[in-house]
Amino acid sequence: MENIAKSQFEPAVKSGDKEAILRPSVSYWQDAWRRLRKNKLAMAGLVVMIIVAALAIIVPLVSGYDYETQNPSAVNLRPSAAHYFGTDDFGRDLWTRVWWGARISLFIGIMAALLDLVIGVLYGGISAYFGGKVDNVMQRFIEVIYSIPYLLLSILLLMVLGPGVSTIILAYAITGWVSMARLVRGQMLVLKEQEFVLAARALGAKPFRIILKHLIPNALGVIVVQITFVVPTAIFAEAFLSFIGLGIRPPLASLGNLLSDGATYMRYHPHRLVFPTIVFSLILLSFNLLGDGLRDALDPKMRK
Amino acid sequence: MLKYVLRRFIYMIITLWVVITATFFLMKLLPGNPFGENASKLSPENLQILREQYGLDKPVWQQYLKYMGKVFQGDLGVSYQYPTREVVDIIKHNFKASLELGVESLIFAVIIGLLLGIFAALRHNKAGDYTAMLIAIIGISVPSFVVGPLLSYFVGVKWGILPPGLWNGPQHRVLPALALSFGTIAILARMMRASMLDVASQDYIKTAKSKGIGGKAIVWNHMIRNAILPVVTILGPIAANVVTGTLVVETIFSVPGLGHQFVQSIVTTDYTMIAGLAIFYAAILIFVMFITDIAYGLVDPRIRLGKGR
Repeated sequence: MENIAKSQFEPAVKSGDKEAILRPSVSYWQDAWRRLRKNKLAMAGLVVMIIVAALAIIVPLVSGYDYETQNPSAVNLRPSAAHYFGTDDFGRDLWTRVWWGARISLFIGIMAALLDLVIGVLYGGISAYFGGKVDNVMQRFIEVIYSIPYLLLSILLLMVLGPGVSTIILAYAITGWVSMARLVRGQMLVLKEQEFVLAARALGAKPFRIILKHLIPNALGVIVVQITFVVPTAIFAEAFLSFIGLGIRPPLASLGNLLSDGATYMRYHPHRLVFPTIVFSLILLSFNLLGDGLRDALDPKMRK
Repeated sequence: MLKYVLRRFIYMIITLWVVITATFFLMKLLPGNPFGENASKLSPENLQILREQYGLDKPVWQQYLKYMGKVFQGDLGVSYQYPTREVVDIIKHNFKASLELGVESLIFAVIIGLLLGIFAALRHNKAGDYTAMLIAIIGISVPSFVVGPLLSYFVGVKWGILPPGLWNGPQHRVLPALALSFGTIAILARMMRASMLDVASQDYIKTAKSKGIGGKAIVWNHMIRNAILPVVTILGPIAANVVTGTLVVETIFSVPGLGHQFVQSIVTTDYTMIAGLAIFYAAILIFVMFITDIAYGLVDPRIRLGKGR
């Protein structure tokens, strides 16, 4: 006890402005990023996602093969230096096909998420902002759509529209936007009661300006989290539909039809199942891990 | 509560109606002739007789009303592919295996999923928690149509422990049920963990602790009992997961169930069959959603009184 220096008990020197803020202010997104960086699983997800996306873009360009050229003299080869993932029953290079498939699956996921975003945010925003009767009617409509199992509706839609990248995106988006709309509406209902919205309205801002400039940016955190979950769901939907014979048609590759082929041939050529499985699972896993991390980082309820 | 149940019931009927209507008109939009390639071999008179037999000569709205009436009487029409078989008979014949598979996978999922969730919550922020949640998130990320072939290949073919397919004895049940339960385990484990953590921070747990109740008694009598209630609210997603899962799992393991039949009818473009089965599955799922909503209302009075949504 005695060896504590007396100087430590000196009163602090009064100098400068006591009200001055010493540290630079941290914005919502900086704060979220800081929390996210501490989450090892989420960061692993982000890194895997970036690597997978990079490979999906680059590999089909530089592999030296394309996804449809057949080679009868190199059928069902095991992985080798010439074919990293081996070849399929038409002698097509699986390394190229898997990454080409990843590209298409990611494209479907992202486009579906964007469509979801646009429809969901507009619908939820309008419903919450106007409230009252408008909200009531719009919510009744949502409750009906919400209970329709989307995969069943997608199956019927694809029977009619025919399989293809755009029809799969459309089939997903037709029911997929509902969760987004509900989520956005819930957020908006909370936000629109807050003072800054009242202030904007008092200054004469029009409804759409308030929705676009004030409500949506403030609900962005929740929206971003939802998107990271929509992408894997849409990718899953494509794979599921391909598996039951309604997805992307060969020779075009998608992870769904590669998995489906792989399952058929796995007994004799396990490499045809193993590689698409790894890539597919990594994509879903990385999105889910990042989504979980983002939710923890952005969720206002966790910020105590 | 009665008013709430009634309102949910009306929604259920409306949703069913929308599904049936959408199915009917989508089937009307389908390209091609319902009598297939051999239609060209038939004389126009025969074709006309066929049309009349199936009621396709009447205007669309009459067909629609007739179809609607039939569906509500439980008649889903005759398979195009096997004209001697009624869709309803096929459902009756094949649904047993699907139901059995679904129930078995649910039993697996509830036991493993809840235990995993409870374990994770009790080891909150420790290695056990991270491991359990990593398993759960892998369960969500690796769908049943990937797990199925892998299980079938390794356990069934390579190691030969269990049969890789078919549906004869109890040993044929294990792999399909396991493959199907994978995703559900993950959903349940995550939900149970969140619910347990929520309960753990409640005041009554503090009270129990300060009364000197032992750790095990708190977990069993206070935490798990309270934490398990909100889990019923995810019955809907779980049912959807299991039902769509049966389509692929039954195909992978050659289970003679309705899901396998559904995939077959998609391959053979058996339109009445697809429409009938889609309506049947939708009806099941919509009914489960209805039950979920009721359960939700029972658990959480805020929902029942119409403030939640």
